[in-house]
Amino acid sequence: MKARGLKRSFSDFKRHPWLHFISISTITIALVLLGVFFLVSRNLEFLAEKTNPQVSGTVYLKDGLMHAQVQELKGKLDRLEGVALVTFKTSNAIMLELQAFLGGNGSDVLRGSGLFPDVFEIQLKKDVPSPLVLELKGKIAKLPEVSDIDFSEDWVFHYRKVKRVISIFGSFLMIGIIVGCGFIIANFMGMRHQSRKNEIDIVRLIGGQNQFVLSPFLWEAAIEGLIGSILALTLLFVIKILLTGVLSAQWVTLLGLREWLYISPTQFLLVVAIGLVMAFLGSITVFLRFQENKGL
Amino acid sequence: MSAKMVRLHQVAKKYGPERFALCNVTFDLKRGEFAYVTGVNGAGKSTLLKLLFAMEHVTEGAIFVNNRQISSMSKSKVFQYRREVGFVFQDFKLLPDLTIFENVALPLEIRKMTPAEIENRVRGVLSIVGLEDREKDFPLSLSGGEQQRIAIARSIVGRPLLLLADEPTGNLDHHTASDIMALFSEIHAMGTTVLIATHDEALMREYPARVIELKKGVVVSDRGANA
Repeated sequence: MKARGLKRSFSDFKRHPWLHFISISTITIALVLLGVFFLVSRNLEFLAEKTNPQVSGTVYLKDGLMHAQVQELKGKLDRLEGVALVTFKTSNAIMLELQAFLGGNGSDVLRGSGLFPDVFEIQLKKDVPSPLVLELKGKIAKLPEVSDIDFSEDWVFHYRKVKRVISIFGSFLMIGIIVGCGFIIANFMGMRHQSRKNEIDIVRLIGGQNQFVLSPFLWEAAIEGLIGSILALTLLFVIKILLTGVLSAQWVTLLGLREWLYISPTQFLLVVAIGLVMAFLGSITVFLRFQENKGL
Repeated sequence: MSAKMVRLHQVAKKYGPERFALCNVTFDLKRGEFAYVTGVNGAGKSTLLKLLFAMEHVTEGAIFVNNRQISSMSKSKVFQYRREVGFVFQDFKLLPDLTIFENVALPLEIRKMTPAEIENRVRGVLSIVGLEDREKDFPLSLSGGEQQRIAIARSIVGRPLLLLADEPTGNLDHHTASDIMALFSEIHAMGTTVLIATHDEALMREYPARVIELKKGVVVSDRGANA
């Protein structure tokens, strides 16, 4: 039965090539749109990861602390919930770093010592929720050895918000594409169904049950979904190459992005799965329509 | 095994509250019998055949085919039943995109027979209808008479016990119609019960058999071949 259904669906590809072409094109276009979204979001995420989207901060120490006090403070900071790494830097080390950053002229501009206090640089664990960061800030600020603190939570939270918005937008886009394209494909399938209504009626008259009638539709959906996905993935690869080609030297220097990344394996599988879901959605809709019209 | 292939008991079919297409129709067909259902247009011939092929439900009464009550059959059993009964339509109902071989093979495909069995059977029936050399052609390349032969081949390829034909010669010239009737006689001679709906008096005279006459949905006469 499976082989027969497959054979019959292949015959229909020969009989109605344009209808199948339109269905496959619809799937491909929808998946390319979705894929471009995946491509952009993946590369944005990659850039964000490169710029280290973890909350970090600087704890400025009061002047004149003894070594033992500094060690005690380090212990307190290490034990705080959400803290990943605590590094001590003397005011001299900070000065040297700054001079190195400013280049040859730095030592001329930043002469002397005591411009900066000693500090602890704190790296928080990934995905520490914002209430905990605020709580940590409060706790650290109250420590007697601390004169001031400065955390980078604002932009990280902003980054997280953007990421959340992108993922919500992506989810809606996916649902919209699946439903919208499923509807379009269902209509094309419906056109094929109308063109084959006579055939279906005759097959039913000579004893063909729903399974026999519908198996070619399901095979067609599987074939269209796969072809549509493969075409979309190929086009996405071409788009990725083209985008890499237009990356300017400034962008490469500024962002460290030498080439656009292709979609991730999960996104790759998602594109194929959505292609199949869209095609099957079309078939199932035809099936339901067929159920309504099946009285003879 | 009962000697009766078909039994209709007080069958009525109503379309709408007032319009009776068939009214109190009662008759039997013996196994291996050949009979005509005749009457003018609108007499109820096609309705009777549709009821016998389970294309429609009776309003009243009961229909038995091969000891099975078909008037109260579930949908899934209707599909099974249709595989056991052949039906020849006036408009042939061939699939234009399939070859002659594929058209005739379709009922066997539905029954999930093996390719070897299908090939064997299809070649056999194509030789009965005299079109064994046209198996790769498409229906539209054939004449009306040839298309009807293919439709008959498709209806008998499943070796039905009962063959129903609704005006099978209605679209054909007399000579071709006579050939088709000869084919039905041949199929009947193989042991198949045949019931043909027709209003062609000349053909009924040429191939005499029992004639059940309907008028406004009522059986007005039922006469044997020699009556």
